[in-house]
Amino acid sequence: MDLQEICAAIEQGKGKRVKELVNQAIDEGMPVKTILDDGLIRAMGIVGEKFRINEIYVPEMLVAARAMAMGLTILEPLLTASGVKPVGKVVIGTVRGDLHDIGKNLVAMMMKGMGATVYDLGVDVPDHAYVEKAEEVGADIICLSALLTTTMPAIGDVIKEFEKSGVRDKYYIMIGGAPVSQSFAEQTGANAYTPNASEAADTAKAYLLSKNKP
Amino acid sequence: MIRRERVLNAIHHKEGDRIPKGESWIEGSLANRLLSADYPLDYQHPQRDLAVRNFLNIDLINLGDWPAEQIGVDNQGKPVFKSIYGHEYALGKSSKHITKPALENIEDADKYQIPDVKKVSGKIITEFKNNTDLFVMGQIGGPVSMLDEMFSMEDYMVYCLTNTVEMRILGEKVMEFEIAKAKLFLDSGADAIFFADDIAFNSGAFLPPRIMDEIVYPFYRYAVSEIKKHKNVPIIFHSDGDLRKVMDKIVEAGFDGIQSLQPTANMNIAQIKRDYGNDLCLMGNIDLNYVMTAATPEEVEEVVMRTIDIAAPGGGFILSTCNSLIDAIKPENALAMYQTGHIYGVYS
Repeated sequence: MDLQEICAAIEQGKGKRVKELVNQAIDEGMPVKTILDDGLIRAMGIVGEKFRINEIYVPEMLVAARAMAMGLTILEPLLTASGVKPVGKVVIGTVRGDLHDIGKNLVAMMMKGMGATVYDLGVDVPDHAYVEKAEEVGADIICLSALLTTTMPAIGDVIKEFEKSGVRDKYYIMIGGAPVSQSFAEQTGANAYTPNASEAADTAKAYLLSKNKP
Repeated sequence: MIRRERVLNAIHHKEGDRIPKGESWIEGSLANRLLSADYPLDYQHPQRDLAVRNFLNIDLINLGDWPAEQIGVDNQGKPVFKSIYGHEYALGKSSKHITKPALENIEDADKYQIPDVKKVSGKIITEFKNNTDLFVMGQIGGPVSMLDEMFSMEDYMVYCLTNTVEMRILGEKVMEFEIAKAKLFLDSGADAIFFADDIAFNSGAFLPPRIMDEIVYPFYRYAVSEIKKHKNVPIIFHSDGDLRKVMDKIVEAGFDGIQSLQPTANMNIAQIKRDYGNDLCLMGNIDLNYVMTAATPEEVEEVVMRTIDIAAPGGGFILSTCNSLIDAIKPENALAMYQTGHIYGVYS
C-alpha cells in the first residue's frame, strides 16, 4: 500500500481510517519502522510545517495529532518487540501551580509525532518530579510549560532543582507558554525557548540529531 | 465629573475632564497588599473591591455571578465544584482544571439543558450602582470562552472541527443563557456589559476563519443586538491575544469597545487607534508580562504616559492593564500606573 494514504488520513484527522491503514500495512508485511517513519512521522512533519506557515490552525493540528496517536497505539508494541529505539525520550509537564494543558499537550503530541517517547507528567507538576522522572527513564529532553505570568517563575525553580541535584548538564531543557520568551529562557538558563509546538518538535529533533551523531 | 459619566464620555469618544481608569478585575491578594489590609480573598468582595478602587482612583468596576456548588475535593485536596453550565472543575490558586465535561457525549448536544438564569443574582451590581458613582459593568461570557470552559480547551477545539453542528447547537443554548444574564444585570443597574470571550493565542485566533464564521461571529451579532434591544448600553468585548485578523468582525458585530489589546501579542496601540479608534473605545494595552510585573515604577510611568499620548486624544480610551490587576504585579507598579494615569491623564 502507499503510505501516502496514511499521511493524508492523519492530515484530515481521520483516526479510524489511520488505524485501518496501519493494520493493512502491517498485514501486507511492511516493516513497522517504515510505517512509523514514512507514514506517521512524515505526516506530522507536514502538519507541523503547515502550522508553522499559518496554513492550518491549532484545532487542525490537534485532530491530526489525535489521528496519528491512534495509529501509534497499534505500532508501539510492535516497535518495542522488534527492538526499534525511539529517537529520544522527552519528559514534559506544566509547572507547579499551573493547570493549563493545551500547549503542553500539543508539544507532547508533536514530540511523539517526530518519533520521541514522551513521558507526560500532567499539570501542576512539583519541581522535583521532573528530576525524578528524567533520571528514572534516562530522558534526553525536559519540556516545561507555563501559561500564566504568575506561574512562569516556577520554570526557573525546576531548572534550579536540576542544578541542585547535580544533573543539570545531562538534559536539554526546553521552555514555552504564552508569557515565556527568549530573554526569559536566557535568564533562567534553559537551553531553548520555542514559541509553538511545531517549532518545539523541530528544535528537539535538531538537538537529538546532533546528540546522537556518531 | 462623576466617575460614571467619565467612563461613558470615553466610550462615546468624548474627552471629558480626565482619562478614565479601570480594570476588569483586581485580585484580592494584590488589593490587600496595596491597602495594607486583610480582606477575605473571595473573587468578589464589595468592601475590598470598593476600597482598592478608591485608593487607585479607579472609575469603574466589572462584576458578575457564576453560580457553582462545591461537590467535594480532588486527590490533591483542591475543592471541586459543579458549575451552573454542568461541568465540574477543581479550583487551584490561579486557575481551574476541568474534571468532568458538561456533556459526556458531544452527540447529545440537543439534550443539553440551558442553565437556569433564576439562579443568577444581580445583587452585587445593584449594591455598587446604588452606593457608589463607579461605572458598573456586568460580565457575561461569549460562545468560545463558555464552551471552552465546559469541555476543556483541547476537546473544545477538536469538537469545533469534528462536531461543528453540535457546537453550534450548544452555542445557541449557552448564549441564550448569557443574554438572559446580561438582561438581568442591566435590570439590576449595570451601565454596560463586559463580554468576555478569549478567542486568540499570542499568535492569532484559536479557530480557523470558516469555523469562526459558523459558530462564533453569528453569536456575537445576535448577542449584541438582543442586549441592545433590551437596553441600549455599551458592550465591551474582551479577548487576550493577537486579534488583528478579527478586529473587523468585532467592529461589525456592533461592540462599543474592546479590552485587553495585549502588547506582547502584537496589539500595537498606535496602529489600533489609527485603524479602529473611531469605531471602538480602547481599554488596556499596559503590559503584564514585563512592565507591570518586572519593570521599575519609572518604566511603568513612561509606558503609561506614552500609551496615553497615543490613545487618549479625542476620547475613546480607558487606561487599563491588558488583562487585570493580578497578584504577580508589584504593588509599587500598580501605584505608579494609576498615579501617573491620574496626574498625566488630564484633558486640557
